[in-house]
Amino acid sequence: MPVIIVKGPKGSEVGRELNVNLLTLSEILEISGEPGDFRIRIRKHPRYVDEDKCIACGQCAAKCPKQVPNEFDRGLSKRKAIYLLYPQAVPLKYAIDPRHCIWLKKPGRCGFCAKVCPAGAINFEQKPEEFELKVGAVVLAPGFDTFDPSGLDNFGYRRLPYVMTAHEFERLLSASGPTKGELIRPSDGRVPRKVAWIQCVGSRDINRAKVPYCSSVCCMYALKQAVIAKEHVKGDFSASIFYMDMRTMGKGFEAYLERAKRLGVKLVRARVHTVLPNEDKLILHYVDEDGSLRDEPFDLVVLSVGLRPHPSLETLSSRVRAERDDFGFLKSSLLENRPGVFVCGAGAGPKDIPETVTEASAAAAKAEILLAEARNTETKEKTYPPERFVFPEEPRIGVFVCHCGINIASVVDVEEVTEFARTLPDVVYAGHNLFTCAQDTINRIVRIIEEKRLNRVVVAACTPRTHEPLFQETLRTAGINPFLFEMANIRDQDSWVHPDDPARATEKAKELVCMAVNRVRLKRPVPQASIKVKRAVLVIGAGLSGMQAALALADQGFDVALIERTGELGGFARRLNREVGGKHIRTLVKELAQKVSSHPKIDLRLNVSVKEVEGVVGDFKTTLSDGNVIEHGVVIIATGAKPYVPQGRFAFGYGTHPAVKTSLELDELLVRQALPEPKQVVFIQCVGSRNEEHPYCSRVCCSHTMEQIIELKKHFPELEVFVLYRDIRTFGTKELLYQKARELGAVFIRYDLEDLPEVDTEGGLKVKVKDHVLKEDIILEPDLLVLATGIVPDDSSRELAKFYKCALTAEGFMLEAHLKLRPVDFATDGIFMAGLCHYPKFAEESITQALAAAARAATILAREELPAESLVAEVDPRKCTACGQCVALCPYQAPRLEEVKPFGLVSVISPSLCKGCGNCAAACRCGAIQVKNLGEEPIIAAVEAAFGRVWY
Amino acid sequence: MSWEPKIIAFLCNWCSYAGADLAGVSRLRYPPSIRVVRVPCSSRVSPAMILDALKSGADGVLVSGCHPGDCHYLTGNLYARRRFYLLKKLLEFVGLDPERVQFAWVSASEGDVFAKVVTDVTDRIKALGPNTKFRKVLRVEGKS
Amino acid sequence: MSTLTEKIREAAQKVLAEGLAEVVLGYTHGSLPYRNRVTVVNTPEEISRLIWPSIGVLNPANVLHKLKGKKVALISPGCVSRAVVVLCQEGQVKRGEVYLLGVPCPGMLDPSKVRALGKKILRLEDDFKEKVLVVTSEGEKIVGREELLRQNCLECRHPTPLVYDQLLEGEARKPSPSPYQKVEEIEAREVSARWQWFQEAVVSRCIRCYACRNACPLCYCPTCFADDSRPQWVGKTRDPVDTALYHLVRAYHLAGRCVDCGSCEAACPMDIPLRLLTKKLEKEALSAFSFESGLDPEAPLLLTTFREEDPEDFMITQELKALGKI
Repeated sequence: MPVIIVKGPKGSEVGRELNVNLLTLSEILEISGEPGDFRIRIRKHPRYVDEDKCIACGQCAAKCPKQVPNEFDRGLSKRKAIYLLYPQAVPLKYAIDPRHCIWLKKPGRCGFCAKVCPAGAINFEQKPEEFELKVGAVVLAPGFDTFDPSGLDNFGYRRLPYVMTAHEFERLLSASGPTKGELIRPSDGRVPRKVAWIQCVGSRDINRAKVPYCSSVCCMYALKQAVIAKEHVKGDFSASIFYMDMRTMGKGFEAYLERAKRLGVKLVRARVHTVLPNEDKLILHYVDEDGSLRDEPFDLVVLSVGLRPHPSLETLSSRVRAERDDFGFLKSSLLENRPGVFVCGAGAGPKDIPETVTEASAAAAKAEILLAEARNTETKEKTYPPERFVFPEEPRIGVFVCHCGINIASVVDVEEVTEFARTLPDVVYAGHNLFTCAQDTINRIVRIIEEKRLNRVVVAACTPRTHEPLFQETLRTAGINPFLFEMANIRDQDSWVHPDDPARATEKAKELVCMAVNRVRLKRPVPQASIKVKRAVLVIGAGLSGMQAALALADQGFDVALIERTGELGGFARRLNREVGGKHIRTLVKELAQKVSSHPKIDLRLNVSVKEVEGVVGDFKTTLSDGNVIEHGVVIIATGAKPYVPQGRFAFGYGTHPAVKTSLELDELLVRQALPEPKQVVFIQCVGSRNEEHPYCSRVCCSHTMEQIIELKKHFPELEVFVLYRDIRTFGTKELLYQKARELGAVFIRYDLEDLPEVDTEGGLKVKVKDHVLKEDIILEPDLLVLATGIVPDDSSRELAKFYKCALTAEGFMLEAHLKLRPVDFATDGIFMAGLCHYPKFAEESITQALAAAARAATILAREELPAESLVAEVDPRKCTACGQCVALCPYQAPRLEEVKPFGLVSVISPSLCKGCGNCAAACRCGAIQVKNLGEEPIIAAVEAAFGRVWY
Repeated sequence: MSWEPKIIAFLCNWCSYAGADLAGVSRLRYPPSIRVVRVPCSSRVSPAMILDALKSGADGVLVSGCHPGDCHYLTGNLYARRRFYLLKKLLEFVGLDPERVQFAWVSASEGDVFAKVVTDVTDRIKALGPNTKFRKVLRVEGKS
Repeated sequence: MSTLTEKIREAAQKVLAEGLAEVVLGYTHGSLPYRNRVTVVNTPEEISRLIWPSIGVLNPANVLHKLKGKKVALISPGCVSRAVVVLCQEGQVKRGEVYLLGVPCPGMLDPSKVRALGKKILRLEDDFKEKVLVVTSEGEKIVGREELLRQNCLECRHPTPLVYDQLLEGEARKPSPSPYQKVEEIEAREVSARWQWFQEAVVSRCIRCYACRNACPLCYCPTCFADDSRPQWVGKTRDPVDTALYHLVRAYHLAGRCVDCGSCEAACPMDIPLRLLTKKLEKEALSAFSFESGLDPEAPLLLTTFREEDPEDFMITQELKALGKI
């Protein structure tokens, strides 16, 4: 069972998961033992609020007299000494900050929170606890800090009022931030009309900030902030970004850059020298691309601060004995810091959200492999009594109205609402409780359900979004189908928003209760749907990613079918010349190939492709081109991509002159040591990337060029190197390769897409390029011209996507369910992706993604059964005309037209594919489609109840 | 007490209902006019349901879903947008005060937007007065 | 005898002879000079019954479902072809089972406009171009054709079918330059005047006989929402709100589907301008979504597709945003 130790709160899914033990306010003191058998000593600091009692009503914070700067808003607003760090905090429980609490500093002095807390949750007597945990593996995800620019006096941060960090600016743009999303200068409340972003503050700066790496994320966040700021400010607004290289190398990022340009965000390639005050403006002092000195006034300057290791890493790494790199980040060799201790996220170096999320899943895969034998030994599952068969019973409805302390009762007359509920038909019980969600009330509800033989329950309290699962569980505990339940939201959507009008709030509460009663009366018991899982996986494509994913799952004991279209293993990676995780990539590929070929759990099939697919998550049947059928529960697609072949405008003499090579061809020559000594080499970057035909950045080419330069200079120290580029995108610590290449004497010359270098192959090889600084053409005569070719999607992706009903991006790469939060999942359940078919990436990233895909696949493979959406749409075949509208508009392909005797051709909706959105039901003119418990009748019954019409 | 309109608000579970909750959590205020009906997606709401709400006596109807691109069901809100456009134009055409039926995009983080939308829609409907045109006089039916 | 009738008979003869269809579905004379009707021709001998009607008839596509299993040749002016296309899009008709004998349509006359010309109409002579000679009990009259045409023909955007298996020769009316003039007249009125119009012209006249629905070739639900009892959308009485709801939902159910064949109005015993409601939606579909119904059997339907850039300025949030309020 995983244990998560967080100082700050984490996502709500984690909070709900029975098998995650969330320890907040906790720190590791010491770790001992070995992989598979660690002992961790933990100190849990007091919250001074009983988590089981706190209902997060916020009255404590309202009364607390002590104001302190709100760190979440970067000090732009105030919070109290008892506080929630932010509204979505998990667990949603208040905490007392002992550094500021008056009582904790001087007991007896304040204590207002304890006096007003309706739940009696405040406990000043809590003490730190220490205990030991036994775990098999450790995953470190300590996050990052942003660079503090106070030390860079030329930018005037903290000295000049209109200079702020991007982190602060982010809070200004947030709807829940200090200004509720209104863009104003915090110092004088005025709307800035002209805003500048200065990039690389605390990044790529060895002289002043002493940070050599690129922080990877700042270009994108500056673009995003500029675009959003333009949307927020009405009327005249200008946004300028001062940058060195625009690094939009992630999926979809280049398109965002183009969009920002179209929206009028100004991009100025310049390093800003100083920010000077000038009345109520700031003057930016910089040298533009033409070399002229400029002074430009702005209303607000945003410093795009870089990412740095969190200060707490120092203690953590020494206690866990995790090594750190030169910059202070946790070391990570393919996510492993030391045996059994894995790392993920920005604690191991700057990275964007998709990479972070991918790494998190990949680290989980590493831990899963290590702990495969112990799987399911400590998994918790709740058990319930058998369900009472209530179908033939008359409705017997119970209504429970909640005071929520005084959250509801101070506005709504709870007793009046309860009395009213009693008068409604079929309501056989109505009562009110101080806290309906408190454990003793829950127990009482169970008793009342049994005593009064209730078969439907309405709770009038807070929001079903947070509390419906709890009360549904209560019903299950009482042996009642959980779908015979309805909530009336009389807190979040009533008492909290109408505190000044108790009469109308009470009236509204009564109507909301009546609506819920009307709706619940028409509900029917619905069995919890589930799908039996075939515990086998199909991995398509045996390149680096496919092999890695297959091994990660086979090592956990799952059956893997690995299929490959060609006769060989290794794919794209076989053609590269790089080191990956301390090994040459070709060695790594050979080792992996060896392992997958001999692994007892891997069924490897070469020279086959997918011919036909049927089924859904948990239960797929894939027919291969050789006629064999594979039954599997999940699919991992790792079909790779292709190198771009230089052509047309971007041929640059390729195919005409023998000294023009692609970067992959140079790799091959270097591996074979077959390169005759060159005197001058020219690299052209972005060949087949970032143009109209391929409007995205291929991510790897800049860094790959730097690696090649370094290797070439090792063999031929006298070699002259020129790199013709558009933006150098050596993000993260790859920046050091760029630095090294410059130190080795490589000369970098920028070109524009509108002004491509010209290559003359007549006679000797000549390359003409315009130098922006010298403003004249330069003619180079290299004896080797290397084209840094991009990566383009493979056509087979398109076919495969059709088979598995997956989407592709406009460029032809696989489209994930969510670009940031679900980077390896397809929108279709049970299908995952890894490697180049998703987007161009480094071999290390492909391996990580393959591990992540394996971990995501394991979340399904580890179960016997998958819960499925229970409230799905159903077709009444008597009313269906098979017009096919539902088929056309369902994004999940749930409805199909089928012959059903005796009705003929009608729509049939697959309950395993349906997500229950009800779109088809609303579109069906004939009224043939109804969603279980969300049909037209229960909805209309709720509507009409608001006007006093009771249905039964 | 002055007349307060009664507005049926169909809110999608994933964005707008959460936005309405956030308005409460943020202790924003808006008129006590709306009666929320939670639906899985704005695309669950059919024009007939909207008309039924008016027929039952609603002074206004508000349907709110996720912003384009945010739909929990990928594209439900975009289908809904077309339907609602046509319905709104049709109602306008037959002279049903167009302000009575309103459509909105409200995300889970836009508690303030939700409060403002409800306030604004309520004001507009107050200016129109009670729905007398499209209201069927109903008797509360007792159990027989 | 008009040449169009001859051409139809000739083509029908050939279609049956060559086995392109088993039956021909077309028009024939009715019991009165201004009452034509739809007919089915099973044998070559019956072909002489077929005519091109000068006066408007219900849409023959409405009876296609009764001929299921037979290959039907259908006499198809623009609106009939379009109805078949929509039925194909909705899987009600297989394109291969219908042979569309396309007719470049000169437009049909409105029976009520003709009837108004005299006490008893004895005979009509239509040149299908400019004039109609009407012989009534009171004498003869030559009337300009435009004056007598059905409103939907006057407003027709596609008199010549775009989808057909064979297109007869002939001259069609020109597509209407102002198809939405009547709609625009209503639109130009004040809200209260529009409501008054809706109540007087539609709601109060309606006797809820559902002839409009029954005549419509695209209303084919086994249970119409108007007849449904769970839930009961429309009460069984003639409550004006129920009647209004019926008409609004009926029109909405035809959004992006209605081909403006005019059958609903032709069938209505109360002369309700039913087409104005569907025409309004047709206008909106064209202007907002560049959509026209029944032109391409392979195209998606209006409501089973969307575009990212579909209009949304009608939404309150977009309006408030534009006003700077949110």
